[in-house]
Amino acid sequence: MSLTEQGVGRKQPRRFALALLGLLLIPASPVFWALTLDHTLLRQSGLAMWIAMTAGLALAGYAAWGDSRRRTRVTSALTAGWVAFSVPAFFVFTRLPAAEEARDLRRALRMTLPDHEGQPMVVGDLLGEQAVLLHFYRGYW
Amino acid sequence: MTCQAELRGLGAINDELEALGVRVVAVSVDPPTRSAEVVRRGRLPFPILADEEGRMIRAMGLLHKGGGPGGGDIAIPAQVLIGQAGDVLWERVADRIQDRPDPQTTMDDVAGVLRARGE
Repeated sequence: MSLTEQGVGRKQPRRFALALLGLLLIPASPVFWALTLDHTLLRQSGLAMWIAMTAGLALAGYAAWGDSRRRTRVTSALTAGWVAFSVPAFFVFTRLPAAEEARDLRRALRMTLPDHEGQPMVVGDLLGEQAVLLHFYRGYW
Repeated sequence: MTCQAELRGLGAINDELEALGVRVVAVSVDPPTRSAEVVRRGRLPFPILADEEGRMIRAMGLLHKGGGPGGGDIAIPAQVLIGQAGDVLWERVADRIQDRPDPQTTMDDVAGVLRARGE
């Protein structure tokens, strides 16, 4: 009996490093996404991030399946838990509020704001001869 | 980050827009010094307005309360085409952070709207 157990113990593959790699892939997955931000479809889908997460999860599963040591199993469980948290979090945290119905366009167009050189500018003054495309963005940070 | 890429994309279609009689003006809550750096790095051919208190953004109904990194108010990513008479001809408001306008789509939409109006 004890011989059999020892035999199984010896043959068991050591996959802790793989489990660790799987765990590291989860926090790294947004980085893969960030690398593809210039590509519209990849940015919107977050495909690179999903692939990295799936790979991390696959490694975790593969490691825990063959290696029943506690540290391997705990690491893989952490990976699975992290993914379970990240997926819904991705959809919650990337959602933006809807624009408000109330809009005072006249006031916005008459407003004086400094441009990037500090020069005062009134968007309404640009109109007349031409149209203006206002581009609102979240800011550089 | 993302914002840089989308501003560069807008810079790339700026000449085409100007040919249609459209001036591009970007707006964010960043101070002028930071926007100047963005313009320099992206070689942007259009101005960036510094709406640090979000006055214009709020007037447009585009304020994302507490959306900034330090819990500050920032703009919801959006593009609004204002016609010569000061009316909104077309607009697109993002509903997800990663939902950013593709420059070519913007170009096609704006050109289509202007063509339909004969401006």
